[in-house]
Amino acid sequence: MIQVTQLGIRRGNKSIIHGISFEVQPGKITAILGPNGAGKTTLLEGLTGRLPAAAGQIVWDGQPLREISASEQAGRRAVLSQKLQLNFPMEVFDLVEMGTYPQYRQLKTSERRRLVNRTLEQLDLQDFRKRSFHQLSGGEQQRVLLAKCMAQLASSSSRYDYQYLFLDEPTNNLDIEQQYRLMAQVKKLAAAQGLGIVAIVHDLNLAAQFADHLLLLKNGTVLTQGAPNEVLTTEVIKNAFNVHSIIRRHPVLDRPLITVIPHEIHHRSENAGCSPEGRTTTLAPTRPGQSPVRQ
Amino acid sequence: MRQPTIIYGLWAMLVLSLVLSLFYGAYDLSWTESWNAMLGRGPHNGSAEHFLLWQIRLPRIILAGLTGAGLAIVGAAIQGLFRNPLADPTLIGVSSGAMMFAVLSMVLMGSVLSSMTDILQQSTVAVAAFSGGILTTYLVYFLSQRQGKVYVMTMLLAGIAISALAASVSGFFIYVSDDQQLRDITFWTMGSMGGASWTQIGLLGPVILLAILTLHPFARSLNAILLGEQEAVYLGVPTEKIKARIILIAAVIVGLCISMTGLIGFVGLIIPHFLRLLRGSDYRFLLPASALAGAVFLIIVDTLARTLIAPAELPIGILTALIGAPFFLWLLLRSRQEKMIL
Repeated sequence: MIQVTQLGIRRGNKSIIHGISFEVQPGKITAILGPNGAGKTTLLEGLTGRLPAAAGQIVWDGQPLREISASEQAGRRAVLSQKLQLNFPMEVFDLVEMGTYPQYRQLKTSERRRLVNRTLEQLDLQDFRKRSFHQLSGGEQQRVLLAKCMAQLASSSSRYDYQYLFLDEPTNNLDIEQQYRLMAQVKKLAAAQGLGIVAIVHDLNLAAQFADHLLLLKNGTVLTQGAPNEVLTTEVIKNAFNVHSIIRRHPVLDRPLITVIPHEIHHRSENAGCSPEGRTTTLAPTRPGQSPVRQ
Repeated sequence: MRQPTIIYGLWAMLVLSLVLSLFYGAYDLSWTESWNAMLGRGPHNGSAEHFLLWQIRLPRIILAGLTGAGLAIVGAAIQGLFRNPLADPTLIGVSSGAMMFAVLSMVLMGSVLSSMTDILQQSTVAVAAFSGGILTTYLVYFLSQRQGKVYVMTMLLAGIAISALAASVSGFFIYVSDDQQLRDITFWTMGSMGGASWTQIGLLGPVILLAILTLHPFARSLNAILLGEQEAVYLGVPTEKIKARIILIAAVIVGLCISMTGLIGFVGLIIPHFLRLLRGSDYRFLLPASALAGAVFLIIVDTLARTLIAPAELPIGILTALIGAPFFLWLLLRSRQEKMIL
């Protein structure tokens, strides 16, 4: 478990985040939400050990993060960055194999190969082994990078009880199918291997559907946190993102479904005396044929 | 082609180029004559041919091989460190600094140090060039440092600025130099393997071999750095330590090579690129292969330099650029087709 208490992080002289406390549970997905400039990336960089804590502390399984060496950190967590700029040609297998760097001395070449192949199969990438990373689509590249993270964690999994995976906007630049496919894979991995996962997510519905715990940031601190049903209300969304919304229950899943209402339409309905807010904050299932506005 | 195949092939080419260049030169010798002269058999015991092969050709060939190996392996390492396929050893300021100090010493020697013997003058230029290279590299490195971190982008820009500064100082001293000095300086900047001696090899050989062995363990880390510096840190690579070590090794190797042979361009740029085309960017392969291919390349080019217009001799820098520049253009055009960032 990762415990964060009263965390504050500065960049230069500027305090970016302050007073943040939460926990990351093994096998669960924690999504960090919030408008641009809320401090999501800074928080993630603090959690991964990239930025030092200026106040409060981060504890990984009972051990303060600042006491864990860089090489040990590499064995206990992997990070899927937002963008990878590769200036040299590289094959998928070689790229994924780099994930085993932290355990290079401990693993034999044959063990390393087997581990990489197993990881590629887990993510349905076995046919991409010899392909050049540059020639893949955005979604395929992202899956290869996820495979690299999984190879990194798998190579050290026998040494540590708990491992963590940090994802920085993993679904950026992916089409709808790829977004849901990637998140489903992440969720499966979290459950199967007991990984604690923290992801920055922009899409509220994606977060509502896949995350177990939401952490909504605004102005460098936690606005609210909890299960998706508790966090995602019209008031909170208005407060955090300054948009009006309607929240219903997902027709298939027991999760909230958020529909954002454009400003001008909201004003029109408000002037007509039928505000969409208030009536729809509860998660009542909509009956077919009924518009939630007229409910 | 598989990696070990290429490495064995390069070893074979190294041996072949060594033998061929030894028996091929301005002074025409038949194969059997050469062989007997090498071993000092029969009439060749203590002959001029024996001396030519052992004291002139062989040291020269070995110097070319060592320089080629050193420049190419450093080129490969620097390209990885800067994550830039266009980076070459001159980028860290080592060449321009070496040139500045070499020019300075040559101009000063014309007046103050003119009473010195030739050998002493040559060594002075070499020592000056080496110190200049190390000093400027240190300056560039120091300028790119902030709070214990070295920023490679800053380093790249600082390298350009410091190189320009050093070039203008060199320019000033070239301007005030006399005709003979001007000639010396011009030839120095075009590089030459002439004047190679066993003493030079005794000094350069162990350092280059040691540096190659020291660079080799960095191969995995350089592979990880290809993904980006932050990615490498996430994988547990001690990037700051690696930057400092590689830049130190690069400055020492390039500084030493330049101090003994003058400026030789393009080796550090084209050799690693050529090998990447053959077998990708894996540094476990690229580092040893660059050293071997660099040695083969410079041995062959030097043989051409001393035989093409025999009995006169072409400066080797002219030939490396003559071969290197078109190859480099071809790389650029090719990468434009493949939409790679180059």
